[in-house]
Amino acid sequence: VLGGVSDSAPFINLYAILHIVLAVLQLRLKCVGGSALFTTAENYNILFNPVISASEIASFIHISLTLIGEQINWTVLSLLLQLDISINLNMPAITIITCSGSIIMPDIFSEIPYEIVVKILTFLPAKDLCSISLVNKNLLSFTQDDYVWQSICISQFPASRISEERKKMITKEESDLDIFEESDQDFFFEESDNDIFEESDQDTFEEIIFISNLGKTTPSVENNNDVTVSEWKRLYKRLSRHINFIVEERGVTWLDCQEHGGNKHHWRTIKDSQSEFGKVVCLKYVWWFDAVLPGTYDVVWRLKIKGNNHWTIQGLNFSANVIERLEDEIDAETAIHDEKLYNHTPHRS
Amino acid sequence: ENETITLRSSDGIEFHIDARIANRYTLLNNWNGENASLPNVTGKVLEKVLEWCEHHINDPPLNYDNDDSRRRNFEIDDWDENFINCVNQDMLFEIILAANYLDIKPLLDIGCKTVANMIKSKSLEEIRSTFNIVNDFTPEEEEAIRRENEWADDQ
Repeated sequence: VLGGVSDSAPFINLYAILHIVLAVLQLRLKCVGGSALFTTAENYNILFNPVISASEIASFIHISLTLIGEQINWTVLSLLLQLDISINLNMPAITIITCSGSIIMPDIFSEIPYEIVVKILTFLPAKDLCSISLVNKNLLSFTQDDYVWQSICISQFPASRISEERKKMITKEESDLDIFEESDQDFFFEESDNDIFEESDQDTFEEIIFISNLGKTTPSVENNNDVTVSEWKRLYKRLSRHINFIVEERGVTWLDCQEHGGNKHHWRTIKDSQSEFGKVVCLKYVWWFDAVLPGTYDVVWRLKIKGNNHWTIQGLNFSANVIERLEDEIDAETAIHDEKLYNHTPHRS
Repeated sequence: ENETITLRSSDGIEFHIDARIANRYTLLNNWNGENASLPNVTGKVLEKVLEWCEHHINDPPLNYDNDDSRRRNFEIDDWDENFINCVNQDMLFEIILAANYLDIKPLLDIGCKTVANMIKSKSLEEIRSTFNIVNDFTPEEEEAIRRENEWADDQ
């Protein structure tokens, strides 16, 4: 039952969209022989408030289409709604009653604008971003969105690493799968040269469409049950792979060793979501570590230099020694290995 | 003496603010004269947003165009954390929407980081109950998604 929708101009578009959705529903159901569920649009009960917002309609369409297994291009839909309908009404959420009688309430993430959800998600570690894909279908659609992963790559890795890894990824795929046509490849590089990623609200949707088109050059996945993986998500995996390797294969033991056996006067462990390990050790007074348990270690440095408003950091020199103690000679310092001087000059102040 | 301008919220409440605030956040770009109405922001929300702006009026201007700012800072400073923790979830999202509408990028960032923190390291059920979300997956769909995301489990 569609009722009470006002006749004013913006809602004509809503009607048009609804008709399309209902037509798709019917068509799809005929194809899969699901006529027992919905035979006609009239049997699909939708209770609308007199006025409905764009995001509510978006969530309705999204839910309708995912109910019948139709893949939805969320970004294109958002664009469509953004362009055609600019409504800002303080109306309570609509309730959508599905064929099975269960009630689906639009959640907050389908009510706020697309670009805000993206912004929120870019502040999440990849692990959390993957796990929220299981929350509901709306959030899943965001975690499959290339633009989200692109923003995350840009926010977590330096631009040089990203373009380097992208080139490798393309080269590898060319030789392994031969999926990129010559023209597509040029397109790809051209894009990384022109900096299209600058944040500009007006350009946002152009970028999204551009990225969506890019995604279409990927080969279709053989198994239909598999979840579609975005280009940028695969790139993220590649960028984070070496870190995974360290964590998985070697263990990040020293942080924990220090935590339980070290001297708390000298350091403290602080949570840091920017660190791939989720925490960093902040040194207070000294710059050596002892009390590391016997074993084989890889030594990894990761320094974060914090200035304040009045100071800039220039030409920083960092030197480090690795001092080994043997298990059976606990008191004797036995060897100094690989004394190296690491010079680090930040490229920006 | 500083110039003041008058802002009127959607529910007709007037706020007299320092013109520096409006200039700083490009609020005045679309307005003429000294007064302006904000049809999308209620008085309650505008009050919070202006409280934030007033506290940050002397902050150095942020340059959002350079590479460094695109690599996001995940931290929220103490005053902001206290400010944002004092509001309920509805108000939090209202502030985010208002900051977006008024183009106050630092406040938008703080709001988004706060929502991200509400999601971070939580179980699926905790996230669903925090944001009132209903699980709409079939077990088969869940399984397919889990398989795809296995790589992230060890991160």
